[in-house]
Amino acid sequence: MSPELQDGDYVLVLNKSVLKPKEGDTILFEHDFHGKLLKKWSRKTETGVFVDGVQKHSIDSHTLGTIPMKDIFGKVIYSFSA
Amino acid sequence: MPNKTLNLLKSILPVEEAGAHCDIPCKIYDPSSAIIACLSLIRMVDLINEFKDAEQTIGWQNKMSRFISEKERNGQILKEEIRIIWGDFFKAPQIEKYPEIHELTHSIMMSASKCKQEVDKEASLALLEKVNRFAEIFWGAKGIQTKKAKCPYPPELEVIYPQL
Repeated sequence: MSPELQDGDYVLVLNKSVLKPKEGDTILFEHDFHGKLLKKWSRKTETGVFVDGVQKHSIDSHTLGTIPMKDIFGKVIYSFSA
Repeated sequence: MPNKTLNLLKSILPVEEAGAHCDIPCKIYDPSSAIIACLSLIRMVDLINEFKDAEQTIGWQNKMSRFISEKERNGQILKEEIRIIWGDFFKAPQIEKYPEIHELTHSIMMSASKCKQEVDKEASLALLEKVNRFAEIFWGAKGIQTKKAKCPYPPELEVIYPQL
């Protein structure tokens, strides 16, 4: 998620039950192979949310697959460097 | 943020680590390495067959050893290249579009092993057809058209090229 987020940054994530994430938000989700990941919500599809990174060479849902809503924790509302 | 404040927050809020990147290099996949390895394997089969009836001098033994070694090495390269693309590139959307990919990959693994174990031109040509189909699927998954054309070097066989 560079340059928006750098290695070691802290993010505050609000649970989706409190505030529903939407297109354009940075979301936290659980990927069945890569674990907890942060990516941008690009668009909603039939099978889930298509996610993307910030830079053009970032991996996106073409590699990760679409993310089911049940695997999304929530959206990032604040971030800071320690 | 001051360390004291950060430590206080960490003591009251759950803090977990999340990633934002995956394997490096990202997005660099290309089945051409597997195709080249397959062509090399076939070339070695041809050379072994070409020289198998020659006088068995020390020079001949050296030559045959090298052909066999290269056949083995390229068979291994082919398997690894296919395995990496299958395991790292293909995800649910691509698998849904090409459900044959798992069986095809397994079939390539089995065929490549057979070609390593034996000197069998027919088996190696059948392997190339499977690798070509794998390449076709890969480029199709990326929305890129392909064409079949004769490679401009021995064994001069038809292989899949992306139309970029």
